[in-house]
Amino acid sequence: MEENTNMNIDVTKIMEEIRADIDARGLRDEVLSFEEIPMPQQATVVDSGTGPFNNDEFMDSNMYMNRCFQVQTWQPIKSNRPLGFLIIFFKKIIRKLIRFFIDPIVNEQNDFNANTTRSMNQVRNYIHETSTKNTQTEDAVKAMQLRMETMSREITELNRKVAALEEENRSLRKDAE
Amino acid sequence: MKKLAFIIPWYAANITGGAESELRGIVGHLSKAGVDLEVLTTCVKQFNSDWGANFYPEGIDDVNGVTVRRFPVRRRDAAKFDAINIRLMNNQQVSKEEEQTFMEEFVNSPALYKYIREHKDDYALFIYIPYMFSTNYYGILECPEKSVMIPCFHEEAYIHMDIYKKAFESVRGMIYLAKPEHDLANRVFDLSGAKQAVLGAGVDTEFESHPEHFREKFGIQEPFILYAGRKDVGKNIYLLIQYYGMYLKRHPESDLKLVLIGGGEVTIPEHLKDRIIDLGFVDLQDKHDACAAASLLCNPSIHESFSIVIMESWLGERPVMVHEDCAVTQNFCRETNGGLWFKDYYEFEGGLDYLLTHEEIAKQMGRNGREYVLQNFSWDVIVDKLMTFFKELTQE
Repeated sequence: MEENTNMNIDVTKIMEEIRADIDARGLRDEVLSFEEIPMPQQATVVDSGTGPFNNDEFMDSNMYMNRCFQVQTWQPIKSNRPLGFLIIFFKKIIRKLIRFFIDPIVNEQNDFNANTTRSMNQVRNYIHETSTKNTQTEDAVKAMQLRMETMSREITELNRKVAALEEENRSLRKDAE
Repeated sequence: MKKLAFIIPWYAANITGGAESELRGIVGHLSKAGVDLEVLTTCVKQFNSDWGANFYPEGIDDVNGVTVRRFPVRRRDAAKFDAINIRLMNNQQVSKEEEQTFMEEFVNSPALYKYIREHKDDYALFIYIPYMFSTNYYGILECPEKSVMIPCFHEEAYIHMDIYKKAFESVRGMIYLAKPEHDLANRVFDLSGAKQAVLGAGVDTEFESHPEHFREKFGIQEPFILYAGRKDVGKNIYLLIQYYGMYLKRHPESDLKLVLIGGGEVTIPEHLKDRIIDLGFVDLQDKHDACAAASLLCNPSIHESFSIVIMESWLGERPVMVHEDCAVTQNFCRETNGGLWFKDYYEFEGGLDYLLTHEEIAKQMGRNGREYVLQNFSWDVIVDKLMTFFKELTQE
């Protein structure tokens, strides 16, 4: 591909100047707040594929699913444009005309969402049950470990006593001879 | 040279979509230049329709003077496909068996594959666009020795599926829209056996821009940033709105506006409603005029194969700002010296301030971009490059 021959401008150098200016003014030390300029509530899925299970995140998503699995066909129609009332009027007519097509699709989606939510609720219950069983198992394992330590100490004490008795027995036999 | 066949899953005069529009442009201009060609496609209507339904009748059609052969699709298991596709869309890995299922339950036309197999001697080359669809995958496997791809690769989970290697590593030629695409393709696939070229995409350059018409028609006299394209979360429109809002907060004296053109819906924060002007769809001339009237065009998307809009901004002799994480658009800015890029808000603010306060440099950037587009992407140039590539391939 032919390179542009006008080299009077070097955008790489311009970017370096901009970055140097940002660093010199310490701009990145400032904390910017974007709260007044909110992003809409668009769900995003970020999955690194690794990392520990996060129960809080799972429960948050599960609660959201239970609250919001039902998609609504009706949405408010607004317009701030000039002749907005006309735009709203025609959009409402279009909305009525296409309902026969949209409603079955939305119903199908809601069926899917409901089944998905029910499945996730079962997964939530399974996690809870497994977590409880794991806790009980861990407790039992701890108790067994404690018992083993106690028994180990008792065996050591018994071995000591046996050794002492054997020594006394040898001594008595020698005296008898 | 025998006739060329272009293969795409759906084809019609009015289908939207980057690859679909680009193919219409290619076949239309090649046909006008006297090249003997056909489009081989399915009877499916378009991307967002049922891929198991035959909308168009089977047989030969004529679309704007181009011969189009339509083949019926077979029924598919959409549920199986969707279950795998949703994971790919979330960048999760799938197993080899799932890759096979994905390909089998995509959009498939055994009749098309049979036609390619039985008529391969009638054609010089089979050119496939874009890479992802199974019509292209199975079509290539029927005749790899005559297959060329215009893949439109970009970094996403699909390109890393192993199943594609079997087909793509056997093709004769690869045509890319931009150098980063070429680099990506060669990182993922072994293309040592293919002839490769970075040719770009065709751009309509036969028009004039009238910035004053735009200002008068839409009543916008203040300087403005232009966003042109679908208003979609995936295109980072909300990032631009956030950054623009923060810019106004930090520069309360500024009268800069943000003008949006294109389809889709966007939620504009209440306090910015008088500063962000959403014009929706505008006609083509208005778009050209808007590009010329803007202080700059901003394309914040990180998933671009080419970006026609930045070319259109350059044809209007205005500079652009793009996201650093989009290798394609950043590369074009560097090659042309026609734009700046940003990786965070501070660089967005710095770049914007620079362009607004260095008007002569901004104009020169725009002129640089225009020269670059005319030299490399006008349709005459693209047709010449394509025919040279095809002829070299058929003579080898």
